[in-house]
Amino acid sequence: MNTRNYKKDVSDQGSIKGQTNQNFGYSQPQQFQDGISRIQEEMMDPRNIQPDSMFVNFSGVLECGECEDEESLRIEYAVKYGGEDWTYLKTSNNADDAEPSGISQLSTSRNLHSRNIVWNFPFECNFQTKNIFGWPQVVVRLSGPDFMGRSVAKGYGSVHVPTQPGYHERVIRIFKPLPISGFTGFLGYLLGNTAELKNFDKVISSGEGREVTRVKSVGYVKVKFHVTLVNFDKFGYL
Amino acid sequence: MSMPYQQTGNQIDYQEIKQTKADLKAEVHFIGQIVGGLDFQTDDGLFCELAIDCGDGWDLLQPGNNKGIQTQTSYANPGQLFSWGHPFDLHFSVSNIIGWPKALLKVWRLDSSNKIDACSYGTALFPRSAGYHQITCETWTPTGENLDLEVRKPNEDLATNTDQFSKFDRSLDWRFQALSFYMENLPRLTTLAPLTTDKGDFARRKILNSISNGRVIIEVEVVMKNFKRLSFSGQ
Repeated sequence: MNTRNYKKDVSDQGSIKGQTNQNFGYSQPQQFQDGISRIQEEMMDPRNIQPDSMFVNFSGVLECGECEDEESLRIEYAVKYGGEDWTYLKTSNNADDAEPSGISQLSTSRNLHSRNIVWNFPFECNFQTKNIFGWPQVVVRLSGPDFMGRSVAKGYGSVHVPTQPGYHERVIRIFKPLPISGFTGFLGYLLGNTAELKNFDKVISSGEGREVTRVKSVGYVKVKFHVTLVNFDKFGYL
Repeated sequence: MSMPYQQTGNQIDYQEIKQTKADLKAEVHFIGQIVGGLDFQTDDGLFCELAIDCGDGWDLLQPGNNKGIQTQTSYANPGQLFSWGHPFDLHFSVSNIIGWPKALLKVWRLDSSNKIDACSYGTALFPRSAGYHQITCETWTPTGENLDLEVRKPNEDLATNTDQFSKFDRSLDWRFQALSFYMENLPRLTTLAPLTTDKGDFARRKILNSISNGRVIIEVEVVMKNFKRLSFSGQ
């Protein structure tokens, strides 16, 4: 079949006896020299492709903080996000983690004059999503040694990851649950059972069931975020 | 090029995706937390209740129920923040931007005998531009009512009224204040209508007298969808 004769007149029945025109009146599409049609080139242009999900990549540093009169503290974080629409993408570095979380080193303030404790603890997470609802938030827990050296929780706090791309600084306000009565508080102080939250990441991130808890503010933690958003403009955001 | 193509798997298939009418609906997300309260000048524990009020064109898609938020009870030293730290995540679908959402705040007090009482009220308007905002809402406590204003006819001017007693402002009603001093509870609003312009009897707010109270701090990130496409400002 001779396909290179497309420029010939289709009504030409052929000079050789018995040869019929294969095209039957249809014309071949216009072809460029390199073999890609204009439609195919438009299809491969990334500006024309409608993606099926958005991606949120953020990294940050839990920088430093203060907590009442504490000298030594360790910070733990967990990133909580809305369950159904969001998918946490594991990288090869942290393939063991089912949920993004981490525990930092135990750090001490420098001298007696300042209570500033520096962790400089970096984190990075990648998410795939189709919906903004359930935007990730970073929930932190401060813990440190009590007078006997046992590790107890000193405070909790949470902050939402910024929704705009770029560099942002945030301050997490830290609070500590209060014991139910003075006696349980004293006993807890002696035994190392101070008032703590079980499953702190679920309780603090959702806000449900916190109506009857009593807390006291104890300090703050400074966080730095760097956020990149992918495909948000194709979906109408940004 | 107006025709979007779907990329499926490794191969590019040409499928024409028709954009339906729902794709161009404007949506707004308010993601943030009630950080805490400042300057309340009390030793009792405080917690905050938040109710979302919006116009008829706003449809709250997620979370499913709009029952409001009640934070934890926080104690603080003088000058310290009462930290509530309560996160919220609201997803609205907007068909009419009249009635931009507002947060109706009610701060409650929990005293040493485990009794709760209303402390103060406030209205915080959500921001209208995308990005991170820190809203500070000053709150006020009602101290009484000035019922003389109800007796007067609605359009009657104060200056034209010749009744000599109505010229005095009876707002500092001694009976009301004496009762609240001895009973140690200030009056409460029976309805949140005076806080919002959208529904109900906002005009009745003029009969209230109030005293200033602390402020509530809310951090919120606003994410808008399709506002630019529909030529609404803010995105």
